[in-house]
Amino acid sequence: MDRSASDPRKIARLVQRARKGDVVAFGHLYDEYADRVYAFLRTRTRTPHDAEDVTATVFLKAWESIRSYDERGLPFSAWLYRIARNAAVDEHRRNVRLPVPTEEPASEQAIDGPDEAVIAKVDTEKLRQAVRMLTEEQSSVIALRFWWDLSLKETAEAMGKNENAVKALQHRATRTLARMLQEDGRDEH
Amino acid sequence: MSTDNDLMPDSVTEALARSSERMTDDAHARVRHTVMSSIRHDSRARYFASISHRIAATAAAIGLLSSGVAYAADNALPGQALYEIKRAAENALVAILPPGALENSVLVGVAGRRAEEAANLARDGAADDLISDAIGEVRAAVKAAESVAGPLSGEETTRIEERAQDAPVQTREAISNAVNAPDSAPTGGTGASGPSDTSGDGSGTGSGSQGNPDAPGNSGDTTGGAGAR
Repeated sequence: MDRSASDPRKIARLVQRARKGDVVAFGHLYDEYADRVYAFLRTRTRTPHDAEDVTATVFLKAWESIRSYDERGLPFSAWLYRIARNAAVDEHRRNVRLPVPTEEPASEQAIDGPDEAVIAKVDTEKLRQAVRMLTEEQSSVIALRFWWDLSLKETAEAMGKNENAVKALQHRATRTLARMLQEDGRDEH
Repeated sequence: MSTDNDLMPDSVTEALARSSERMTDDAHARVRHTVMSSIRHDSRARYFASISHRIAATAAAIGLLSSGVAYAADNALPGQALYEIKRAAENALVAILPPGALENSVLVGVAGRRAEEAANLARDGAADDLISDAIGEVRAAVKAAESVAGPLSGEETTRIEERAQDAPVQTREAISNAVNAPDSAPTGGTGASGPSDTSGDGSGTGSGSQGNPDAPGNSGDTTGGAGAR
């Protein structure tokens, strides 16, 4: 699926129709966003099957509440993310299997800067695993900024934070990722 | 270095972009089916509950039925004057149906109607593009039925295909393809004609530009479209 942002007018039309109960329009919205919802949930669930289940839950919840969605407020993608995020939290509470850190990990110790050469060599699975080890807020920022293509402002709105807080989270996430990946690279040598 | 991502080194950004995990096509379809089949009844109920839609649809249905025009339009084919009325009456009926077996059955019936129209057009020697459009309508009607009722059963697809049994072989095959694989691309142009004649019915002449070779009156002069029925 093309990760670039969809035509906002097309999305707005689909949302408008879906709010009136148009199933076909909602199906198109599913097609537009399912990959992104899944990608985010994959960072919060252990197996692809779990991510599929929660993805279905997210879209069912979205359908239930789409009539109350106010298009003058959050962008639809940010609104959908909130549902995804809440569903992920619910899923985690129900099924506590992964050690999802809630506090800042011990990665706050200073790292001068990510070793870009190491990161560039990291394969996608390792990076995904590393993202899963971030705090929930950090991985949310990563998902929204880089997988959902939300702007800093939209990410802040979706997370109920200000832009500076999002910047700080993104900064910490980057450094934490760099640290984990560097360690991983060293382990292999 | 991007403007908004100045906190994120390019290498990390690129690596993150690579790391986004996508659903497999199977998973995408599986979850889609779960979601759509769960919401379909709710949607119909919501639509039904909409006063404006209900009033408009009921008025349209009553108006059409009481005027007798709908009855006259029942046998109309695409391109004919009464055809739009036939479709409007169908839409009005579908709109006021409560969710459930009746609705599913009506939608399958509508798909059968589309199949019969395509068959009749081909049988009557209509232009290729008209037949092609009609087969496209079969495809759309099957998809509409599936969006409400889920994948059609073998019995339902047979019910639709039977409505096209009078069609020339190639048209029948194209309709069958539209019914059984509505998401696949149409094969062989109009699906109602084509240069090859593998059916053995003698209807194909390769003269696709001169109308529908399946239809009597075109290539059917020799062995005849009738033989293809």
